[in-house]
Amino acid sequence: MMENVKAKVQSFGFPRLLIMAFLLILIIMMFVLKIPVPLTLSQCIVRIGINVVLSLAMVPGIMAGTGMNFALPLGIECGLIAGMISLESNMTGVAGIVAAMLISVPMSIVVGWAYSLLVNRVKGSEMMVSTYTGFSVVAIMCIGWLILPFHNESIVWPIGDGLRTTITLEQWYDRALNKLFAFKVAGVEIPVGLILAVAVFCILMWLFMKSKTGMLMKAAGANPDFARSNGIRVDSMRTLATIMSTVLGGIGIIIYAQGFGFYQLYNAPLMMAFPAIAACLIGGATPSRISVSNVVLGTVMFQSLLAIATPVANGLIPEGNLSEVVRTIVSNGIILYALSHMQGGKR
Amino acid sequence: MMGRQIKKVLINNAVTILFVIICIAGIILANQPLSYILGEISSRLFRNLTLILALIIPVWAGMGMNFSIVVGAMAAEIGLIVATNFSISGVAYMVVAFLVSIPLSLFFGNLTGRLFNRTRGQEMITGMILGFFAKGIFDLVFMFLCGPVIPIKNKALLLTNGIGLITPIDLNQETKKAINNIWKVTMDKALYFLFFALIAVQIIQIVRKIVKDHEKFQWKKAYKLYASIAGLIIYTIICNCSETVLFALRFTDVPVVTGIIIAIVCVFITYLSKTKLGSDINAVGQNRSIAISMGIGADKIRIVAIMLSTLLASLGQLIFIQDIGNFATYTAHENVGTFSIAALLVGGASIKKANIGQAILGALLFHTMFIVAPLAGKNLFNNAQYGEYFRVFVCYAVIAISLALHAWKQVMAKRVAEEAEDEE
Repeated sequence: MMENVKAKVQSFGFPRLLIMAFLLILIIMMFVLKIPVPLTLSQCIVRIGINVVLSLAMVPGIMAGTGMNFALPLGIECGLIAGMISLESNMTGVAGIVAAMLISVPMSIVVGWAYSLLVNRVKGSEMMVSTYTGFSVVAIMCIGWLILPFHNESIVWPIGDGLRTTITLEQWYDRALNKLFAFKVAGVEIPVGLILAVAVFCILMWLFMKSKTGMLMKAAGANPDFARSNGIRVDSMRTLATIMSTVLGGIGIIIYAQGFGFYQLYNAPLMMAFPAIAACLIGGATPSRISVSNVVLGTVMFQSLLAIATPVANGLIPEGNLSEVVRTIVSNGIILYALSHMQGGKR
Repeated sequence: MMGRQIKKVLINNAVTILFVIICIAGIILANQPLSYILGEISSRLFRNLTLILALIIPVWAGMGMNFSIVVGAMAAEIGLIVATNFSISGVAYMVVAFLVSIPLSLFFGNLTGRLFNRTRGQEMITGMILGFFAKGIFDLVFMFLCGPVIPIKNKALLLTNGIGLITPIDLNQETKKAINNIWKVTMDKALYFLFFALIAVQIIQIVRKIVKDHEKFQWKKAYKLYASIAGLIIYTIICNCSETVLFALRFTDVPVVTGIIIAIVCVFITYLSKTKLGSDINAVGQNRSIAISMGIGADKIRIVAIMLSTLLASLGQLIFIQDIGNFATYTAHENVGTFSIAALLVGGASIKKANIGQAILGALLFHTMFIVAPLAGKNLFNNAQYGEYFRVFVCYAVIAISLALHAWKQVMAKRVAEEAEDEE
């Protein structure tokens, strides 16, 4: 019996149990501290919804064997540029969001393709190269935000050069997806539009994984040499995966921004890949195996943890940012755990 | 043949050469007095060099750039917090901080080494994530546990509500630059000392070879001696010809004791490379399985390499902070890894090779860029921000490009080897 439990724990992963226990404690604390449950729950749902697509961007990379896409900021920057274009031309409502997504896709495809040229040349060191590629792009885009020709008074600084650091979306599409078909149950707001949009992307990804191309991609990732000898073009699979991941990054940040209420430019995207990766890993993905359910489950766990941790931490210690510290420890701890469990340092 | 060789040298040192060009352009665009630039470069060199030197040993062990020197920096900061807690000041403060940081950094280094042994081949990404993770733990301990759980004697360290440490923590007037202020000389004299010391070392080495090993003195091979003498002569001529250079040199003070500490670190690293441990580290770095078959405990050697690196990093962070005079409690360690690594790579080092010369050259070039970039940005675009973003970009890009080039070379080498095998 004990043996059985031990084996179960091992396959599930000790840190995941720890995180679940922590989540449980937080939920109990929430009731003890008399924190309004419906409000917290509404926040939970929104946070989960706006983060799923960013985590979903990890799926193609892991399938094709390029590993966790630490270069997610590449896609995010494309999404942000598209978002800025949509604001510049005053697109509002859900249509504005959709337009921003559509604008981001071609940009992401080009950037993803260019980036895949790099990825295919650095096999085995993808993670480190992609991290610093992402960082470099964020840094160069900081200059980009200063010099890109945007003129709309509401998005540029009144004095000085460039776009504002934070742009609130009230004038355009603040929470437009969340509010679409939204209704209230027992004080909990259900953002139906957001859930539908996220579900569409999840189902599309799930269908892709079941499709022939998806199968080939998985085979290319699982054993590149074997796949090559069976006539699968491994490099083009990796290219496709990188492009898909970049596109999802771009769309993901637009969904994130509309649900959050503002676009954050400059250094904001720098660390965005890490929580997205952490969510997948918490959901049971490994650097070589992932499913859509991992992504959804992981995001639900990670984001509810953070959403509940914020009011609980504020109830316990009003000053300081305990939930931010929790986020840092949990997200990097789970990535470290995953890295230390890759067999023999291989993927 | 000659042309091809030149081309090879240019390609292999592309990053360094590009940096020299950026630095020269930056200096011209920044349009600052020589004394200012020289003073800044000198103080930054002494401030940062130990942290960069801390990276060298793990490179020998084949573990790449040690991104986890962040953890060593944290050990140093814990030492400083302890010293502040007991209200010590002056040189004693730094000594206490160092003594506290030694066991801590060795312990942290040991844990890091064990983790790296589980993630062989991915040490760099592990080190980077470990740095972020350790930052979270550091924040937790000093933001929330200090005060309620960990007793703090010096109430000035705590926030007004008694939970968590203040930021930044200031070193008092006596303690700020305590080590630097022990003994200072102006740079013109310091450079003379340096050249004479270099010549003396060369002569001693040659004499030792003649007396001990009974080798004949070879005039042709003593080029290091000639270079040192030539340096001295050129330096004397420049000083006598140019008023501005001499003025700038006299304007700049050099912290001798800090210089001696750095020299000791350099001697230690050089000495280590000649010991049994050093050759074991190199053997593990070159080929782990051969090293194991030779009876070397590869995992143990790797842990030792990381422990030494972490220890040196904590010493480096102490030197850094005593020079600045304060540190942002929760963020002072954040960029230590990235900046030091970028500097070492700029000096011409790679993931597989690094030496002291590259560390010094890298520190000089990298920090020159750091000083002139915002000034150049201001003069060019009337906005210092351009330069600030540019230097951050360069820092990340240098690391990205170096890592990518290295990985690409490895992939190509593997492909060539496979093709050769197929032909057989």
